[in-house]
Amino acid sequence: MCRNKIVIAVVIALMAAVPLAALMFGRYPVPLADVIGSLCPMLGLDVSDMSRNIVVNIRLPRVLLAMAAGAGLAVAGAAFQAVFSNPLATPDTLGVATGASFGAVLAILAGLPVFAVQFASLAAGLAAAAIVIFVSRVRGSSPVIMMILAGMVTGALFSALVSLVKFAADPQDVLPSVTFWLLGSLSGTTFSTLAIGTPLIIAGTFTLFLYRWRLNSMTLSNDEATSLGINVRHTRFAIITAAAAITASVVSMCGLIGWVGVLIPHASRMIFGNDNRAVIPASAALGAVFMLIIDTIARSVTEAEIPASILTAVIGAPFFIILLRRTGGIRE
Amino acid sequence: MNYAMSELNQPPLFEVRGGNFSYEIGEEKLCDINFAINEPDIMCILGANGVGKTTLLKCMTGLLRWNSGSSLLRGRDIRHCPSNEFWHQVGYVPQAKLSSFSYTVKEMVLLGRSAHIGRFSMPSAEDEKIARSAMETVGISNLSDKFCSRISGGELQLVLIARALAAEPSLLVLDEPESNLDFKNQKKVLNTISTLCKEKNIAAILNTHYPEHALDIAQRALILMPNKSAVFGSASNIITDENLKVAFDIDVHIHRFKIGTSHYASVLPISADKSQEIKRSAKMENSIAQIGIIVEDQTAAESINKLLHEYSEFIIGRMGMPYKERNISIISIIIDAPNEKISALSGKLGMFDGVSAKTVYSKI
Repeated sequence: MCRNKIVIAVVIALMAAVPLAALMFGRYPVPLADVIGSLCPMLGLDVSDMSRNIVVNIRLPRVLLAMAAGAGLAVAGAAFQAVFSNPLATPDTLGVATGASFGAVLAILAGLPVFAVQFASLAAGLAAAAIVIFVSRVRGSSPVIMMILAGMVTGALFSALVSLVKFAADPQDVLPSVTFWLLGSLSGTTFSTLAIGTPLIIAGTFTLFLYRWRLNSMTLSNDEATSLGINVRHTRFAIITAAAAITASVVSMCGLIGWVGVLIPHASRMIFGNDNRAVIPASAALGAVFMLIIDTIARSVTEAEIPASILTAVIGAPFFIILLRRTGGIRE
Repeated sequence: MNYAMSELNQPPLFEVRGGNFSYEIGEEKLCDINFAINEPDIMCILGANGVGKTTLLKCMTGLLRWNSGSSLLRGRDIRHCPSNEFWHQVGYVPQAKLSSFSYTVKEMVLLGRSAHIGRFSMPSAEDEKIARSAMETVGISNLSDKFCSRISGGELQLVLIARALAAEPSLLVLDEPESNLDFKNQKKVLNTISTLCKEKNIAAILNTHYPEHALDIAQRALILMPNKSAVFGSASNIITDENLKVAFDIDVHIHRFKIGTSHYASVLPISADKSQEIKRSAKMENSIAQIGIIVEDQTAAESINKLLHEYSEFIIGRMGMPYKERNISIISIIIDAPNEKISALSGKLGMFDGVSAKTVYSKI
């Protein structure tokens, strides 16, 4: 218990320190004093317009997006793993992320503006979730295995459609932007893109946070959960909807970012145990910090941006292996 | 039994009326099931593999829907009862199986409070206290921080019983609680259920593969027959050689005996060719037997005399011979008594320290 308190204190400290550091680092380093001065104009610190502009208008939205996306993906992953009672479930198990990326690449192909791409992506992602829920209904109930199968099929369908778009895209200019989008990036975030994407992430994450204790009983078999007095169908529907909304929103803003939804929930379980009362908040915090570190590296290390999904795997895998070795793995 | 009295005042705790169920149309699984149970009785459901014991548990608790007929909790059709309210009163203990994510025993038992906790609420200190006392009741407090995957099958079964108890139900429904357990743990789980029902005044319905267990702990029994019908009644009345033969399609013999002051019954399957012979001998009123006893510990002699005195009406001949040189005495008894009496006597004699006894049955 004492060890847990220390870990929690460390995580909270990271939640404060990493965003400040992220605002300082980049191709144009800004000193800490200027970062604080830009964030809190009432302190009356003398900050150059250039620094203020970079911190407030360019880096801050991106930092907020990274944290929201990381927290959202990690919580959605934890929730999917619990409802499907399967440690391998990811935010894309139902094909939502693939659906959302199809919506986006289709809009890019059509040459639509950024906002339209985001809307198309969100709509297609939610449509994919609706298809899965509709397809998996058997005699009024949706067995978990049917949902997973329906998700696989929907995912396969949309990934074929994404390939079709790539095939049709002009290899000179459209194809590179489609490919780059698919690799995931947080570049070009502004407060207005945040305004479209984050409400669903926040609402979904908050819903799953409220359901955190219920998630424990959702990992039991259907009859067992029912016999605990839980309306399994409604609860599962609510959790899946919330997690799908988060996933679709994140993909619509940042493209496909793999790994976070598997790695962070499992890391949280290794540290805090399997009780979702701890796993959900821990996943949100660790997911936010992890994604922010990844994105800061992505935009600072080289002149050209490194796609986020490459970094999540390259940095995430060794980190996961270290954690696996040190904690003795998942608590079975 | 306080049965009759409570029946006057209110409907039985739990009742099934005319329950029918089929998975496929035209393929009846359960046909016209009727029974009623009141606290603190235990009802055992017996029947061959695949006859529908688990299906019956699921139908009666509403996990599956009766095609016709109904389950009534305190006289109220459970279909008209909000499921949350129903599961306040009924605790379900599934066959022990681990989920993909393993929780600590404490966390698992706490889940039993779900029916009492709103969907967005967290368990309160009060809920934790009730969960703790449920763990104490079944005697697993020492396991509280262990992972469910790291405890034995018997302990896991007790954890699931504690989880069901945490909901503070008036009826426990258990699906083969003692299957897959060894002798000792079977006894432990059964005793726990039996004590719970008496002390907390709750009723229990359980599936079992062992007619002996039903005879051991149950007041009521329901036997599912291969022809889809069911026999319901008091356990001692309906668990008979004849009913078991029909239910399991094998000849059985129920052997009742007494060790010390406790009564026991064992149910033995009999191989078909020998069954006729044994039936004949079982039916035969009396056998003649000789029991040879060697007493090495003279302090036991008194108790043996006392015991033999209890059987004096059956003993037709008795010979005692002290063998001073080796400080032992040898007793030989000829007895003409019902088979049960003879085996009971030789069993009891064998339980004294320093006494060896051997029984030889006559062939007539």
